[in-house]
Amino acid sequence: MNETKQQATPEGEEEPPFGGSWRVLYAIVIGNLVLLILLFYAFTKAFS
Amino acid sequence: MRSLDWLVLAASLVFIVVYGVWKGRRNRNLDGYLLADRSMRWYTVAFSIMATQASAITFISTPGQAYVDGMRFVQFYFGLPLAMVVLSITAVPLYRKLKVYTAYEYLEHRFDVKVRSLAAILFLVQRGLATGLTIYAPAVVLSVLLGWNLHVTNWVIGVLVIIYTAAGGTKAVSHTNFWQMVIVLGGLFTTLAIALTRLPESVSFTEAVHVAGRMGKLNAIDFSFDLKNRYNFWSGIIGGFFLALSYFGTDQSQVGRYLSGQSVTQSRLGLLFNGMVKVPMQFVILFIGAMVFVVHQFNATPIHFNPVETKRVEASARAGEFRTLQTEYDALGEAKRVEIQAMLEARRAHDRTAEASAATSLDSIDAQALGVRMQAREIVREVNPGSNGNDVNYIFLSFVLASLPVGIIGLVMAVVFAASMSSTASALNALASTTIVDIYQRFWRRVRSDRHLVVVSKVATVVWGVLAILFAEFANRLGSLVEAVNILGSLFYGTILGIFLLAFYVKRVRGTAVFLGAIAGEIAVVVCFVATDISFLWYNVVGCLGTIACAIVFSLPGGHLGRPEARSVTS
Repeated sequence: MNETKQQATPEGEEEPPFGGSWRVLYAIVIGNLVLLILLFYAFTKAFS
Repeated sequence: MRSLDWLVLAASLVFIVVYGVWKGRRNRNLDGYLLADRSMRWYTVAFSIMATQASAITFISTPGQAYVDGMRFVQFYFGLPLAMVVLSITAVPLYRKLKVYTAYEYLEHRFDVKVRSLAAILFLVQRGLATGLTIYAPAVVLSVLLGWNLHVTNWVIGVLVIIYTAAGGTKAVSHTNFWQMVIVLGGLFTTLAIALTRLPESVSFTEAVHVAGRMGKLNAIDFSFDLKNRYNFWSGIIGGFFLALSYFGTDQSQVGRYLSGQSVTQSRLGLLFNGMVKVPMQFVILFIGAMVFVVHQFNATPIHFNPVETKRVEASARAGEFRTLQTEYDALGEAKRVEIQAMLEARRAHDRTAEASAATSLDSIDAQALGVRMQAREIVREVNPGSNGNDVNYIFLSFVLASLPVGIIGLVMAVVFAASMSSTASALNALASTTIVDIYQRFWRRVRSDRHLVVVSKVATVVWGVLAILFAEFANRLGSLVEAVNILGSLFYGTILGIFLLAFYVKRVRGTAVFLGAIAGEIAVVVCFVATDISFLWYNVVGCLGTIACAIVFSLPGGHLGRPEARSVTS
């Protein structure tokens, strides 16, 4: 893997490369956690 | 282990060491040695973060944890994704704005040198001890496989890691972490797939999962609130959040990983990726342990999984008693197999009454078998008072050696080594960074050439490596390694986190109040550890809130500590 330096931008003002905004990415991470907890709960109940 | 296994293992070790030294060969200044010239892309940052946290302990001890205690340990990681989001919002842009080498540098910007030094010293003590455990874990593998003296094995493993970490610095650590994580994930899924083929042909995957669930091994979620219950949803989401926030936000072994990202975006993406995949990854590792448990229900297993301790007992005056227990355990195992088959047949016939009856009998026999196993453990402890009788770290390895095919055993051993070397390397790199930046350069040599600082950083890496190996010598007395590491971390992380949260969010507090608050918070944690039976995850909450509360009280208006801090970088 060749690491190449990106063009410098003002720190903290960069947009994420996908998702539109950082808020959307944060919501995806939290939503993923909620989904996993619900799945684990269903898993625990189904096989206990 | 056959020749092919040794070949796979040796090739992996040589690749890691040579690749690490090669990738770090152009370090000529401190920025390159400690921060990899801030050149890493998000996927390297992400895998490096994951590889740093997932040590060999994760791979060796976690399946054993599921085997004896079920999958409830997965809840321990529920706070982690939330911490990744909080750190992406706060710590990442702040650290990068200040262009710090270590997290503790920021504390001097915000408070004063004594707060910075206190946090750095707490980190050095905690991480120095924990690194010993990460070296010890693969040493256990070799001592079991080869019958080597554990002390010799500790030194062999530790020195291998020291070579490429000292030579290559952060570049070597991050680049090798990436490939180490690839090896770990590949080995993980291969092991799970092969473990499932070891089930009897008459037992389907779904039925195996039902057996594991019926025998209490799939208890992934427990919503009951109990401070003394080590792993439930609440301790995981609250205590785990504080622990993850502290570990990833203030532990230099992790901060150093995302500070090496080439921008705020790359660092953030690395953290968020970890937040997405860490919980499912732990679930898979625990699930492997649960499946190994089911496979063992269909086969005769030793009453104690540590072969060295078993041999010691067999050579002692308690050998007869131990053999009697093994015979009794085998008989109970056979009785369990009968009840499991009865339960599965009733299930296939949709006979709920017969299924429940067989399950009740199974519970009763399983409880008896557990009692016999505990008696054997007690004998082990009495024969060798230096051992605590805990064999949880040997369960998974015993399965690997007994059940996996040639070549795959070598792959699993490579996984164990890759995982251990990745986290040990990150830790040694962070210990050296903190020692040089926060202690050596700050107090003894404020202005020195980069070349000099790189040389002393290498020396510091070697010294910390040797100290970690020395601590590894005592690690076999600590029970489950994965728990020992987390308990050790929880003794310090809460206080360190309290300091950083005050720095991030409380403007009207100054250094002396924070320093005294941190000491009070740490005393509160020690009191909890020594005098109460509160689960260790709550130590993080106690240390953090204790530090914050005391610092704020010490800063109340009217007191000489209450004047606003003049240098706030967050405002």
